[in-house]
Amino acid sequence: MKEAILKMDHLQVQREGRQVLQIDHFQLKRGELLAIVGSNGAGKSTFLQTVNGLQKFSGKISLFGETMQDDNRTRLRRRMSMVFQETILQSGSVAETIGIGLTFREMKKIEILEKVEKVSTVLRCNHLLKRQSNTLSGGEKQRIGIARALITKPELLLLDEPFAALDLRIRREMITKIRAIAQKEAMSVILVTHDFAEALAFADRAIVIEQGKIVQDASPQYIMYHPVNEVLARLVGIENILSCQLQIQENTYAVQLQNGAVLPYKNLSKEAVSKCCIPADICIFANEIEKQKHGDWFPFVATCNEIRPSKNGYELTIDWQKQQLKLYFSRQKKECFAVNQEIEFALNLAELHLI
Amino acid sequence: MEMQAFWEALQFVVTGNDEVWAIAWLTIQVSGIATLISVAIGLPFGIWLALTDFPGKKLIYSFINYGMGFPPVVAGLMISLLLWRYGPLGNLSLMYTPTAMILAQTMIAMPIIIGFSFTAIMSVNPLLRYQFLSLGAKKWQADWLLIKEARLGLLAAVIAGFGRVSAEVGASMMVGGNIKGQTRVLTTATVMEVGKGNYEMALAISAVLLMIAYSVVLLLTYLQHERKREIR
Repeated sequence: MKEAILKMDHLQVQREGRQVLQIDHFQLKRGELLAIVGSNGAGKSTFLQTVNGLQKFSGKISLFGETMQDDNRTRLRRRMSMVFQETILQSGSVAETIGIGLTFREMKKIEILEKVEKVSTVLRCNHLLKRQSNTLSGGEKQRIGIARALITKPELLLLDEPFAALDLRIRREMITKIRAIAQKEAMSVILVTHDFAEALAFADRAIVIEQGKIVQDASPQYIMYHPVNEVLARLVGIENILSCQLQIQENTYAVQLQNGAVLPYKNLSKEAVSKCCIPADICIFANEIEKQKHGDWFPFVATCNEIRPSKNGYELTIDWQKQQLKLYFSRQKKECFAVNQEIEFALNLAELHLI
Repeated sequence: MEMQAFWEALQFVVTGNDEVWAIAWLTIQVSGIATLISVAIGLPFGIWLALTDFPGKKLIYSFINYGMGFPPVVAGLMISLLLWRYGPLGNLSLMYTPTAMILAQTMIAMPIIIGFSFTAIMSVNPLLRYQFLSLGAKKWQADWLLIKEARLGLLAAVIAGFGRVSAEVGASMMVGGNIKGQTRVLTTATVMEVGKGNYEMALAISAVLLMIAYSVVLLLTYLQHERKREIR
């Protein structure tokens, strides 16, 4: 069983008389890849800064088996690295910038240069080594910032939206590379991101922070389909969030949507619900085979109002008893629908999520 | 007539004059030492003020800002009150000596150097220091790098300090007395020659003053200029 390298107990961070972070209990295991998601101002960056010993706090933080105190912060920081949301590089050459962490550790110049060459080759930025830091583009600066953090081989890597300025191709490449490095070196990583797709691609575990508190802690996939509240549902990209009422009759439950449709519901975990999340990847009955295949799904008929191309196919806006829903279908289904056409759909009731 | 005076002054500068060069040398010594003392005390103080948070910081900085525009003649008066015969330091007999002029010019340059160095450090992105700390820097390592980042502004502080004191006349006149061969500097000599109607001499002395000031500023500007660093 992997040991916990980070533990928080009754942690509180105050700023200008306001509580910005309150974590009752939290643990991170060695080698774990964690994503932190939440809306702007939720406390995500403050979380990272506190772990890095850059914020005053009350409560207890244990890192690598040691309780963080004023006199050991530098020693603990040398086992971590952090990439800030805003990449700031010191003046000088890119090679000097990348190696700065090793300079602090008073490593010999020749060894620093070797390590700079190595990490910049892995991250494909060795062509920038002789350039001056202030001549780099935003994307180049972010890559150099990541190289600067990785060169010290940290046991814990803290990333605060490190890919924001990178194009999609480079972003995917960096995510893959950092994951590979983390798995090879048994490095734990905490990634703060606004993009839930990044959380899905990168992390094995995600926590959601709202108003300084952890409101959900699960795998990214679970959070995506079972967000704990409406704010999070919108954050992870769920578009179909309908007001609803729960109907309880003897031992059966049903969800009445705001458009009047009544859907049987089995997996009730709480009775105080007001919204129903409908996934966007429900099924079109294109032919009899599909009808038989999804016979236990909830059928309904809706009118197709709009068809727009999307990244992996098409986005449909449909009118279901005067309730608009947004759905996504692959390119192969294009022939099954047209604007103003009535189409048969089927909804997997097991995928409904009530909040 | 003005053109004739100008050409005579130019000839004067080129051929040289022992008295003028002696005055020039005293000017460099007095203003140079005053600037060095101000830098030795003012630069670290300005940096410390920028990097430290404490109650009353804004109040202290308001006094520094106020001191940057302090009238030199008032600085001269305050030093005079300390040094003249019946003053608290009258027994040191420093009045009308180059040492008194150094003290007065230090008083003028100090707030300028403190203020400019404070601004230089504050103008560096504050996140940079946190970035250094997050990469494992000790406090002194992070502070030192921050000072290096602010070196353009810090050198500007030195340039501004030297420029102010080499050009001032009120304090030097008050505490130095413009005594020939002892406390006469280029600025006080210029005022004196204009008062006597010797415009050629006044122009020549001014030209020397400008040359000295520019030479020092040129040297500091070269130091201020970014050097390209290459991987070795």
